[in-house]
Amino acid sequence: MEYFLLKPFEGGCRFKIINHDKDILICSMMKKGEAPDFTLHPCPLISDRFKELLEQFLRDMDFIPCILEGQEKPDYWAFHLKEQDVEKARFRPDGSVCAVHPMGLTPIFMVPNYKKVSYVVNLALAESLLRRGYVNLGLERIETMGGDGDGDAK
Amino acid sequence: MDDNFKKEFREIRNQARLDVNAYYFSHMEELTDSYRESMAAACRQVKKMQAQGYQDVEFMEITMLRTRLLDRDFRVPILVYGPNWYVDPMQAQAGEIDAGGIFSFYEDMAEKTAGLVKKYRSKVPERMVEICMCQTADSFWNYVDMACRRAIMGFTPEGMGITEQFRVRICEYMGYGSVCRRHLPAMEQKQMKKWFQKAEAEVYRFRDFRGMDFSGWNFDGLDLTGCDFRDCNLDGCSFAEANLTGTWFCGSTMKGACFRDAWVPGARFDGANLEGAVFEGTYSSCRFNEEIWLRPDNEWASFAGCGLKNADFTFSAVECADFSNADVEGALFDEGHEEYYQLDEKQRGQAKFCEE
Repeated sequence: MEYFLLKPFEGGCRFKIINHDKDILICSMMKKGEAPDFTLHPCPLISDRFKELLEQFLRDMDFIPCILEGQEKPDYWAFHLKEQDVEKARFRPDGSVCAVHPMGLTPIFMVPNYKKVSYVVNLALAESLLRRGYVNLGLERIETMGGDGDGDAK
Repeated sequence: MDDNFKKEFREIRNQARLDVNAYYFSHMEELTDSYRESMAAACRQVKKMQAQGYQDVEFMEITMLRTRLLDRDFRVPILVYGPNWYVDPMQAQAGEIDAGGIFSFYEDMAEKTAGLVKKYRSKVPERMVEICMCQTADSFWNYVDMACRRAIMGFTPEGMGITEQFRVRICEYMGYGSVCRRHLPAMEQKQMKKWFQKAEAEVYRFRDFRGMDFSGWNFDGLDLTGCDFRDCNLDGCSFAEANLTGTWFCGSTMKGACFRDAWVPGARFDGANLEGAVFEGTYSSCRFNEEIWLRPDNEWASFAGCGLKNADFTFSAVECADFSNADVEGALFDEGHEEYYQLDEKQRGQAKFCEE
C-alpha cells in the first residue's frame, strides 16, 4: 500500500476561531481567497466535500462542525484521527513524516512527534480525492516501511 | 471560471485528444505488443513471489493512478490481489506498463495549460492545472484501456497460481473499471456445450477459447464480448444476433458460419476461412464526428486476409471494415456496398454486387 503526506493548501482564505465551544467551532474570515480542502490554520480542518468522502470510508468517524460567521451550515470540519506510533515511522529533520508502517486499511491517520503532527492518507483515499478533483490540498508520496498492515479497519 | 480561459483550454484539450487518437491508431500494434510483454513479465514476477509463499491470484489489475499522473509518472502499475481484493493486505505490484507514449500528449496538454493558467492567473484557481489534469485523465486512459484489451488476446497467466475466479481488470484504484479477461474453468466438451446452452447473461464474456473445436455449435444471441476464438474449428457455427464486440476469430476455420444480425465492432477475423459464411444484417459502428474521430472504444472489424469465398454480406453495415488481402471470390454484396466497403479493384472484380 502506498501512503501520502497530506499537506495543507497554501494560500487561499484564512480563518480565526472566535468561540470557545468544544462541540462547534465558529470562525471569522481573516483573508478572502480560495477555499482549502485541508488546512492547518487555525486548527486542522477539512472541507465539507472532503468530509463527505471521508464518511464513505469511515462511517463512524466523528467530526466537529466549523461554521463561518454569518453562515448557517458548516463549511469546514475538525476531526479526530487514529495515531500511528512514532516508533513505526521515520521523520525528516523538520519533523514531518517520510516513511510509515502500514496502518491496515485505515485511510487517514496522523503521526505526531515532538516537533509536529503529520497527516497521512493511503492510496485509496488519495485517488478518491483526485478522482473528484479535490486538489486544494497537497499530496506527497512517502515511503512504506516493511511488514503487513494490522488490518484494524477491516 | 473565466470564459476565455475555458475556451482556450477546450482548444488545447481537444487538440491533445485528436493527437493521441491519431497516435494510438498508428501505433496500435506496437503498443499492444509492449503491453502484452509487460503483462507476461508481471506473471513471471508473481511466479517468483509465489515460490516465496505468495497466495494464488484472483485479481490482476492494470490500474490508473492519478497520484502518479500528477507527478508526471506514466508507468501504469499491474497490481495483484487474492480473493479479498482491495481488503487484501497482501496486495502487491507485480509489474508495470509504460504508458508514456500515450500520456506524452497529456503531459504536453498539461504544459500548455500551465502557460494558460499563468496568462489568466488573476481569474482562475491556483490549482487549475491539477484540476484540468484530474478531469481529463480519463480521455487518455481510454487508449491505454483499449491497448490492454488488445494485449490481453494471447495472454495466459502461465505458471502463475490463480484461483478459479481469476480475472484481469483495467481500472482505477478502488474505482471504475472493467474486466477484460476471465479464467475459463476446465470443462469436458459436453459440459461446455451445456454451459453455452444455458445462454446466461454476461457469463461467457472475455474468455479464452483458443484452439477448441466447436464445429456446428450454436452461439445465437450470446454476449461473447472480448472472447478469444483464435485457431478454433467453428465450421457451421451460428452467431446470429450475438454480441461480438472485440471478439477475435483470427486463423479459425468458420466455413458456413452464420453471423446474421450480429454486432461486430472491433471483431477480428484475420486469416480465417469464412467460405460461405453469412453476414446478412451484421453491423457495427466505430466512427464519431464523421471522418475525424475514430472512437477509441470502438475499433473497426477486420477481415484482413480472410477466405470469404461465396460469403453473403447483403444488408450488412460493418463500418470501416478492413478487407485488405481478403479473397472475396463470389462473395455477395449489396449494390450500395460498392461505395460503403473499401474493396480494391481485384476484389471488386471477384465480388458480386446485387441490386437491392
